[in-house]
Amino acid sequence: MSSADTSHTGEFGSRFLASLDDEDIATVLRYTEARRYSSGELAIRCGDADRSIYVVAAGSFDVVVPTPSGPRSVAVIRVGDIFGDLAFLDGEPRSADVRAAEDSEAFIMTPASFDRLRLAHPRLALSFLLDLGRILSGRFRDISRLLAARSGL
Amino acid sequence: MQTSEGPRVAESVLRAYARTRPTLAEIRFMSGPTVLARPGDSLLRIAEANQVPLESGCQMGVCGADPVRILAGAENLTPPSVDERVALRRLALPADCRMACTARVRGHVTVALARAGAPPSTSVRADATVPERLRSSSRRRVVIIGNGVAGVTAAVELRERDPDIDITILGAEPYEFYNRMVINKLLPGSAQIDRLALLPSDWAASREIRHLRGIAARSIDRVRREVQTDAGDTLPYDNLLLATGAACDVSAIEEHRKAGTFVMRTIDDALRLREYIAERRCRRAVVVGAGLLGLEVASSIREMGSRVYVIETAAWPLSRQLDRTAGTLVQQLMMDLGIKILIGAGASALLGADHVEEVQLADGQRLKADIVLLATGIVPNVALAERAGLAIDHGVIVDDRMATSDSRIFAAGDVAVYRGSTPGLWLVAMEQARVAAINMLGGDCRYDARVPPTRLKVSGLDVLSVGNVTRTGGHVQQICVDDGDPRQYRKLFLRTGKASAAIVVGHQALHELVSEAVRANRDVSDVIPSLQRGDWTVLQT
Repeated sequence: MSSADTSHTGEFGSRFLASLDDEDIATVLRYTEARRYSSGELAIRCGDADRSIYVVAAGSFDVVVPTPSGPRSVAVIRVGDIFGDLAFLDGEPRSADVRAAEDSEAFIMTPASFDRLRLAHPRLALSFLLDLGRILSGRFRDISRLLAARSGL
Repeated sequence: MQTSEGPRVAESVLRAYARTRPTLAEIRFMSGPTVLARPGDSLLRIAEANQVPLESGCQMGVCGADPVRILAGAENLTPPSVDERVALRRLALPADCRMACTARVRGHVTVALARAGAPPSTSVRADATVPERLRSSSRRRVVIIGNGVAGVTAAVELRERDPDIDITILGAEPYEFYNRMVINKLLPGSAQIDRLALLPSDWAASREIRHLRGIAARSIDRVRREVQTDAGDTLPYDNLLLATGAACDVSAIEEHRKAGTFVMRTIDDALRLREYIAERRCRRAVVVGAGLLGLEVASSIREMGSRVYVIETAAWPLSRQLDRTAGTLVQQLMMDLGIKILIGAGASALLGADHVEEVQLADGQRLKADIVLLATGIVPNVALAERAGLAIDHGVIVDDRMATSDSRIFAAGDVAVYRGSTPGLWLVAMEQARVAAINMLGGDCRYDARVPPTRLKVSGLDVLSVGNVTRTGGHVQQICVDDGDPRQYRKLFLRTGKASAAIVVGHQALHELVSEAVRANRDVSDVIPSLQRGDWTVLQT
């Protein structure tokens, strides 16, 4: 079984919030902020302490990291992709700039909104966190396997 | 072997977003984000949720903390209430301004922060101004003691009604007039001192009002009609307004002077508490009193990471604003925010050697505490009035014209007691100051002691109370709607078919509607069935 399979399937469904029905999804969405970004506008600034989690709803974003030889684009995030998930959980400063590559939209769960979701709909907040945890452990397993493969184990 | 691609959201979520997308309104903040907001949201909520630097205040459109300029789409906002229109005029803001807290979106709007163009004030704090040599004048002279909301409102009203009158206002605090309602937000740093100013720094100078900061009145000579200041100056007056405010009532706690005991009335109170928490790495707090102030401070302390208990002798929190059901609901909602409210519990002693370590409750139970915040009501600052021989009963006694026992001396705000009551509310102070100003100029204006709307300013909770909700009886009809949502509650009180009071927990889009209906004492007898069914949009006329 490939690593992609392990992180993309499972008894809870393959993607973030896939286990929720439409009514639950509508409820969770009510706790998000939607934003429009003009091409070139920063969504996340490297070093910032904000802890929001983002989902791309339209357009695309570039992930740009600072390197000794200047900023380098390391990834493109497209519709449906999630970003900012690590800081949402650990509160560490942002490790990269995320910049709209074209006119784009994202919806955002801020820590404050999440607190409100937790208050009003604990079950949905729990699903949200478990799903996030499941996705992250999938990535962690992938990386562990990759490291193991590289070290020839 | 490849790592999997980044995390992705379910298609069903994207589809749900696409379905709501056409209903969203584009709210563009100049040099800030462009937000796609849900209709019914206030500009303040949208700004706060999207890190637009805007300070909130009363959240009822009155205090003037959050003016914004509407560059486009003004027609896509709910129209301003009477209160908001009065505030906009009082603050002499440009015609395209709105108060963000009461402007709710219905379509696309372009917004700029109203004070963005003003020179950044380095700090609200200023050195005590040395009074200019006071020229003798044949003009009528009004001296105002106190530069809080009552004093400043009176000064502005006086000038608006009389361009010639000589106005002096003095305040003991070294700060410009500031937004006392949100000083608790200085604790976690979600508010900054230089954004607490409610008026531009030239508010007094531009109105030719002599503003003495950091100077207190020492005595009043009622025969010579003069005020002596602690800077050694003598200010003659034809009329005097006492607006000296109130202090926190700390009488309930013995040994309250122990280190670690705090009150929350001024910027300096907030700064002292913040410093103490940081220096001693305080993790446990007890707030005494579950009124508006107690709960708001508790939530700010909680935001700093402390465990917080609130103790309250009454049977439920906000007992002056809420009935038992709503109070119990708020208690539950606060608990979910990590703030535990102990009901029917009074503090009997603060224990600890040189600083607070424990709070002993009346029943003998002890709570560990690094800090204790007293929010147990107010005591009017009457020392000056008392020495001057004015009639005092807890506060300075005023009649319905806000006149004291000396017809040349008026009082307004937290220092005044009218019909035995000192509500300690911002809107009451504003209204009393307006009434006093009119009467000082020879007018005849009577204070209408209606209970103004109050909101609990705790992030994540929407609680509104307006009118007298404690007065019940056969002639008061109550409409209470069960929305099937245990986290929301609403009740409307009718007297002879007219909206007289209301309690709303949640339902934030209804807040202005309900406030306005009660303020206007609107006759709703025709729409009672709709109200009972839960359709409260009928309150709008």
